[in-house]
Amino acid sequence: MAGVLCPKCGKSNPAELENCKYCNAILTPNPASTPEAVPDQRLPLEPIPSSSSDSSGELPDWLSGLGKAASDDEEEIPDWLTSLRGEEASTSASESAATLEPTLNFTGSLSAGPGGKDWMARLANKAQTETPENAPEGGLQGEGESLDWLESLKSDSATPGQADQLSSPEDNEWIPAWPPGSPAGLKENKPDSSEEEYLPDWLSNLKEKATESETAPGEKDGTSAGSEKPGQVSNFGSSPGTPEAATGESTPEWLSNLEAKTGPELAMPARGSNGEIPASGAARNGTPSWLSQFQADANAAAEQNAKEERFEAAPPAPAKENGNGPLPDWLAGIKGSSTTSDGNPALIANKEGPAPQEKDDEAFSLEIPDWISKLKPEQEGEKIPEADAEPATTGNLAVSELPSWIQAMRPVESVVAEAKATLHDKPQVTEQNGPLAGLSGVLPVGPGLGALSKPPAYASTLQISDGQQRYAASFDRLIASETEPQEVKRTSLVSNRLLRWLIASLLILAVVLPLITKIPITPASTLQMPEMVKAFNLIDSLPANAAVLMVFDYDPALSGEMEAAAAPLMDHLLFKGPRLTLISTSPTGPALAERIMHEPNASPLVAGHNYQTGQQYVNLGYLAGGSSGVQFFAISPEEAAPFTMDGQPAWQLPPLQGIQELKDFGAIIVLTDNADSGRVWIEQAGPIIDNTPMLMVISAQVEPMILPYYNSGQIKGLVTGLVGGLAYGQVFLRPDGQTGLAQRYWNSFSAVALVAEILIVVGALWSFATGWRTRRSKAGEGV
Amino acid sequence: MNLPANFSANIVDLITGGISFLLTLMVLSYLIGDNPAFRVAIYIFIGVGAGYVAAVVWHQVLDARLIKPLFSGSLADRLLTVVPLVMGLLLLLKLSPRTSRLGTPAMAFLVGVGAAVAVGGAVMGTLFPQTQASMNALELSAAGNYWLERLSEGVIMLAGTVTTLIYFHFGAKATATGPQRSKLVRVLSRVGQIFIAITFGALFAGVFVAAMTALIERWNFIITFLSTL
Repeated sequence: MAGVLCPKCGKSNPAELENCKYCNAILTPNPASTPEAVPDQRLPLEPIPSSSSDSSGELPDWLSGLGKAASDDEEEIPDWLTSLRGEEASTSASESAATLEPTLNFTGSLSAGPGGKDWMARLANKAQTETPENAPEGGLQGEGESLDWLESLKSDSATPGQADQLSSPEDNEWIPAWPPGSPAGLKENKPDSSEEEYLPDWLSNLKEKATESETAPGEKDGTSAGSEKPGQVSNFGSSPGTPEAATGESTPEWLSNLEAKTGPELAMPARGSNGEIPASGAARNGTPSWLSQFQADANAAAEQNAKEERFEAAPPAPAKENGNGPLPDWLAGIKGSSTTSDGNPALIANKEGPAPQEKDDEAFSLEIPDWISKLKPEQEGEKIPEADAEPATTGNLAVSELPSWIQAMRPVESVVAEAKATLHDKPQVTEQNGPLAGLSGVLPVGPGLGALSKPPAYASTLQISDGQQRYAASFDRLIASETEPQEVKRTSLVSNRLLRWLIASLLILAVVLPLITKIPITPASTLQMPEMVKAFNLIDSLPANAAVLMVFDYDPALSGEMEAAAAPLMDHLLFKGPRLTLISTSPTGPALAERIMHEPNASPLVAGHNYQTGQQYVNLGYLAGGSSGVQFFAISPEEAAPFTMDGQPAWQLPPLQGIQELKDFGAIIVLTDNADSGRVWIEQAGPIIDNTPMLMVISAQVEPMILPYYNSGQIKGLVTGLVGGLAYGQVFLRPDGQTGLAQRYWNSFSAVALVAEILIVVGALWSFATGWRTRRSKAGEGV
Repeated sequence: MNLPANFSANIVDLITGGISFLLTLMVLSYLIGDNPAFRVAIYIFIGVGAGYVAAVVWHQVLDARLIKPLFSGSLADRLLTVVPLVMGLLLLLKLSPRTSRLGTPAMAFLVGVGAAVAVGGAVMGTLFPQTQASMNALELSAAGNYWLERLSEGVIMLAGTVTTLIYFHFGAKATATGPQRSKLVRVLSRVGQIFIAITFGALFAGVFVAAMTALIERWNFIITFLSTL
């Protein structure tokens, strides 16, 4: 494919384009940007706008020429480089065994371009072998062959002790794993097959040496620390102490000067130093004086910054121990500059530490070559997200200034960690009152809720007064007395039956014997009750052909008594020839009315009148509705009972002629054996009938309840039971001298009443005697 | 064979008299205890009574007041019968627990109207008149020469009424031995208790007299029936 991959978005663009047609990033014809090399270049935090091609395009002429000369022919390597290459071979491989692999990975892939130069590889190999904490130097990709050695020197500045500190998980969290899919750390050190294909020879040799050096015991501490983090971080945080000892006098002077100059600035992740590659590469043509001066200035600035770094106290002992000799001057300067790193990534600015930008500016302002001066602003803008370990260029860069595409690439863990840190930084409010007292971080009470206070304590015991206690005790005794089992008095069943049969026999004899023998046991009563007398007078005062309403509200069970009590009154009434209207609020009432009107067994006196239905009387039948029906009938009789018992229109019949309201009747006679039924008629019809007299023929069992209505004047006459009927019959004497059922029943009634009275007295005396005997026996037992 | 009308009437009277006689004896057999004859008689009475009531209600209420107006009445009659018809059907829904709620309005209407009528009648027909009669018990001007009798009657009535009401006064004061009524109240309530006992005695006497009259009537029927055989 002839296109050029965009270092930012990774998309292919035509070779003739300078900017990416997708993201408008600067395209650089990167010979290493083959599809195989792209994965390494497209690290998450490596947009790499200034790739090797970019660097080649922007390189100064002198640096381009160097790169070109280096890539054209290895035979043109100068002698000094050749000797340097020989020294590299003699360098102990064990010192760089630990961090060699990551370096190899990166450099291998990055130097996979077609122009891999062995001499440069050997140079880099030498530098890497001298620095056990060499980090992967992605920044050397593309034109990596020109700056491998320089980046290796940068990575030399990392000391094992600092590497340990930087290897903490907090330091690595923000760093995404590269290559993609592998966690940050050792995984990325593992070369894949694609990378190995592009490894140049010198890198392959170096890799082999690194593999051999992994077994070196003296380097394991440093290698373990360095291997747990990406190489760029390791390089960034590494102390220059180790390279000092490693490089020793083997470093050429020009290189020492060059590295001393560029030390602070190049102490950045290898990938982030792409843009500075020309500067480093330029040094290979000979160390210019300005670089030496730059090195000195950088050292002075770095020393000032090192005093303020929290890692300043980091013991350089491991580096010293690992070092084989005193540090050269230029490495001392690098050391000082490298200590400016606090272990935090450049993107996460160390707010506590001073921004080294100003001091660095002072150093750069001394003698910065034009190409560096020209290059620096550009890289600040482009390499902000890349300069992970470049505090000099990114120290004053606020976090909020991160490009959005980098923020999007940040791992979730870092964002969460920042959020947690923000939460923890907030002042925690400790609750002072309420049930949450003592807890911190409690949401404050909203306005209007008022201050919380402890709920009042209530006693668990019930507070009751003395009176309530007495009531409770009384109630308790009452309940206890009800629940106490009581001894059941055992009585003989035979004696009970005998007593019952005895009483029944006596009563039956008292009833039957007078009926059979017709012997008067007691004389007929001559007592005339006032209520009966008034009833007689009212009936007697009725005009002829008067309309009379008769209510039959009694049951068949007491029809014998009711017929005996009502027969004399009805007999008396029928002699007046009234127009009778019969009605009943009981379903059996109409039948009983017909019976007393026509049945000789029921009432021979009444039946003897032979009253004809529809002509002399009308039976309206059953009035439904109870008290409501009675009230309806009292208000509107025609609507309440429009038909006779036979279903004929009642109000056109002669007995009801001229009757519109209840008070149009001459008299209302209620025959009832039920106090409620009698009271309903009194209550509902009494207030409506005005002066129409209401009489009642009642059973003896309801007399105590109905008699007060007579005393109050609500009913005008009252005939009660058999006694009332007999008395009425004594008052009303028929012309033929016949008597009613009351006289016929009187003897039996007198006899049974006498027997009953005797039994009651005897029973009372027996009960009294047994009780007295029981008490006496109990008294005797007590004595 | 032509039978005289008097004979047929006598036969009918004989049959009905015989049935009445047997049923009477079966009921009286309860004297020796609960027995099948008594139970049969009771079942017959209950069945016949219920059937008779149903027949009366059908003929005199449903058919006469609902069915006939609904099918053969005027338009006004039909409209007026719709309301009781619907409410009656709703009342039938009370038979099922699932649909009983539908019958509640009709039941509420019946209870409400019945309660209103009963309360109104009780107040206007019993409470006020009886209270007034009690207050007039000592009115001697209308007694004439029987003022002493009227006075004594009034005093007894007043004493009976007051002491009976005091008996039903259960208010008590807290004492050391528990809540007790005052001594005056206890004495008056004791007098009221006597009046109440007399009242219950009168009621029992009335019930006994009514029952003895029924017994006399039944034995009179039996003797009459047997004498006619």
